[in-house]
Amino acid sequence: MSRSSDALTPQCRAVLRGRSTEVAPLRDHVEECAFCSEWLSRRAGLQLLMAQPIPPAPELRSEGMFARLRERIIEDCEDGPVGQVLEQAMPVAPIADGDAWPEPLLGSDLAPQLDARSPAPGALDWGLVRAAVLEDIVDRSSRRLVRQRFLIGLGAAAALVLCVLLFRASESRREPPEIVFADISSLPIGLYSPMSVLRNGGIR
Amino acid sequence: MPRSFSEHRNRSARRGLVSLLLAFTFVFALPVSVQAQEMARGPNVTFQSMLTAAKGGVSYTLTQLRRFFTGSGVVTVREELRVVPMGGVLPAHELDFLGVEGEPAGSPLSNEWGSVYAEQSRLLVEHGGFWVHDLGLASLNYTLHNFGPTVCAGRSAWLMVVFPDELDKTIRVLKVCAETSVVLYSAEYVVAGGQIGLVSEVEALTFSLGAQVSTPTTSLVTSFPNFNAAAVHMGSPTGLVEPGQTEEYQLDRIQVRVDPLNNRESLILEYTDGIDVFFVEETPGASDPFGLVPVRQTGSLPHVIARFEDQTMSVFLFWDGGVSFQVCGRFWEQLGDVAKGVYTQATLGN
Repeated sequence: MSRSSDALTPQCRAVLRGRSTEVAPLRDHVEECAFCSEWLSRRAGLQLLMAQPIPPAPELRSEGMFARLRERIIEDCEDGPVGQVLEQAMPVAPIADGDAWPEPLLGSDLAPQLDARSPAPGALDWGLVRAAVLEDIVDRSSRRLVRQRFLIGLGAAAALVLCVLLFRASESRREPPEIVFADISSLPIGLYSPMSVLRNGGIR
Repeated sequence: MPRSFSEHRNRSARRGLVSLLLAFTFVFALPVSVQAQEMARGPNVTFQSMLTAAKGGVSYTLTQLRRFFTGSGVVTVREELRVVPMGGVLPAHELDFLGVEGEPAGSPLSNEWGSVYAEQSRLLVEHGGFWVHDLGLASLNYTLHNFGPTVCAGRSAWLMVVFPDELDKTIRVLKVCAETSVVLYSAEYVVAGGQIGLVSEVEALTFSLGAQVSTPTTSLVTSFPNFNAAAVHMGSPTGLVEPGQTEEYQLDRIQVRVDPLNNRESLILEYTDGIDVFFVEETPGASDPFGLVPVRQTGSLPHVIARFEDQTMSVFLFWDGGVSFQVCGRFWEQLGDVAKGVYTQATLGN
């Protein structure tokens, strides 16, 4: 089915560019041109093949294949410049075989202490426990009493402050007093009045 | 005093003022009209000149007569006043009692007035005569009229009349020395009920230049720069009131006076309109002078101001919270409102 580009007609080029062959001029050309009809039939076959993907081989999908790929990548990195930089930055100090893990670090004295048995409590000990329990009960009662008294006092103080504030507020809203004049015919005896002195020497 | 007096005072004030002007015109101005023409260049007597004379003028000694218009008649007291200007509105001064006119020395009346002068000479000089207490207020509230030249205490003087802009105050008649601007004569007239009444008079008989005054070693009165300083001096008693200013009168002086009878201290606030003065006196620790009055005991009249008025003065008395208050002054229609304001302040706790 080979044909040189010089032998391609403009209709052939249009078919190769994917123009629709349903329209009249190209449809007639395809019926007459053997090259184009064969090209179209092969393209249809390829399209059928490409519509069904080919599954990969089972060896390529195995865990071992991926592990080997990782090891290969890590080895390449270790051998590369990144690995050299890490090797220089993190030197590994050699440890002697005998002193690698000293015995004190591997053992603890907690277990022997836990295993040590305490002596059985005597009557005196139980008496002390009883006294401590009773004392704790008394302390709790007294603390409760103090707390109650404190709350009562706090409430009383708050009520007192509220009363004072209300009283002062009511005072501040007091209306001016209604003042009346009461005429007197003479000044009280013994009263010092500057005007009285100026007018009559304060002598009555 | 009858209420009708104060009620009719404003109505009759204008009519009385016209009468007073006519009286002065005929009594004083016409006889001296020739002299007035001779001195037509105009007097130099102004509020400013009188204030300047008090502050830095000449020192002088006056022998003068002071007339008190008491309920039992007129009492004329002869006195000697020595004045030395010290730069203040009021000069340094001393006032000596010489005797009661028509009374022999040593008589009960003479002795009584002698003791008044011994205790109250300062008050008599500072508020019983004429001084310009505040130049600005005086110019604002009064007008000074010249009624021509005259003679007083053997010196050429100008007859001046000081008219209040509001006709509810006293009218002052002055004779002012033409040379020194010293007030040689002062009188107060009240216009009331269509009548003009003379309520005080101080007349110089002799005038001599030069005087010496001694600083008193003890004084019943101490001045303070402000209310708080005076209150602290008194021990900061509760119940004291600092009244506000009025439109015409402003606070002039604050003093504490010790009563020589019982050593009780009183706060005295002096308010001036430039010429006139009224007083607010507050005495802590005093008992209610009207507490025994039945109407007060029943509580039906809890806020009462006792008012005493006659043609020469107005006195308002009240008591609140352990402090006895007194508001007193010459004629001024609004003095009762001042007393009400102070009482309201005292009742509401400032």
